[in-house]
Amino acid sequence: MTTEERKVITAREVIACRFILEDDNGRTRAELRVTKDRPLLVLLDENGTPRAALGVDKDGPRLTLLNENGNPRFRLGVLEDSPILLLHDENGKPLAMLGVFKGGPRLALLDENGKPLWTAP
Amino acid sequence: MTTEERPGAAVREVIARRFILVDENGKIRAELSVRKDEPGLGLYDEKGKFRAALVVTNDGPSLGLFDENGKIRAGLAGTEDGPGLGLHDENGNPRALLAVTKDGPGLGLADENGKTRAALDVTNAGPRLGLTDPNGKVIWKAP
Repeated sequence: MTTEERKVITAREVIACRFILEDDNGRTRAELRVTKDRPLLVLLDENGTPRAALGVDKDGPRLTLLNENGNPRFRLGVLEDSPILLLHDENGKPLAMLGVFKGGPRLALLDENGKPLWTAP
Repeated sequence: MTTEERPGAAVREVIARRFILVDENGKIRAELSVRKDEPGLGLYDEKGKFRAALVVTNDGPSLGLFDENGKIRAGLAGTEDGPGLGLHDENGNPRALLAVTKDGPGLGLADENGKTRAALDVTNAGPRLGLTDPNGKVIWKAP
């Protein structure tokens, strides 16, 4: 982006299919877009890897935090009207789950294969 | 609103260094920007207080929720050590932590001084639960 292109635009409404945020080096660092009828905000690190995503898909709203390899480490979402929090290991495998379901709240610690090691209640 | 009523109509892409959302009074209520090479979305309440932030820093991505006094009350982070959820009291002190480290998942509950008083974690050796007094002395554990 050249100096001439640097300007402030003030508007009551800006309508677009995609909003792109660039850093000083012209790299895309955030995108607000609608993909396959799903609105999504994605934040990217300096290498262009998605590290945080907030979106709404057909299952409900979801927040995902990812590591530098692009594997999810943290997921928070509403799935079939149940809020669920998932913590993943470095390979993206869920190891801890906290959720509120129709039967009540539930906390589970899992092994690498997804097998519950400890649950409450 | 029909397409015809939209001045300038919809565009496919808008590229900028900063996006600012203002309310009807002209107050900034949201900002999508890059600060110190860290992209983030910040949300502000009607008093202009910073209340929520989704940021990617050099340490990793994080989400922070703040009360009206600017104290962090909930934080989610995905750092090199692993992902974690922290819940904080009105003084901003962490009181509950759910995290996954290289050793495995764990849950910790702390008193108002920040001392962990109850801890549950799962390592390769299996799950374990421990309770401690305010001085850090173990008062109960299993196994």
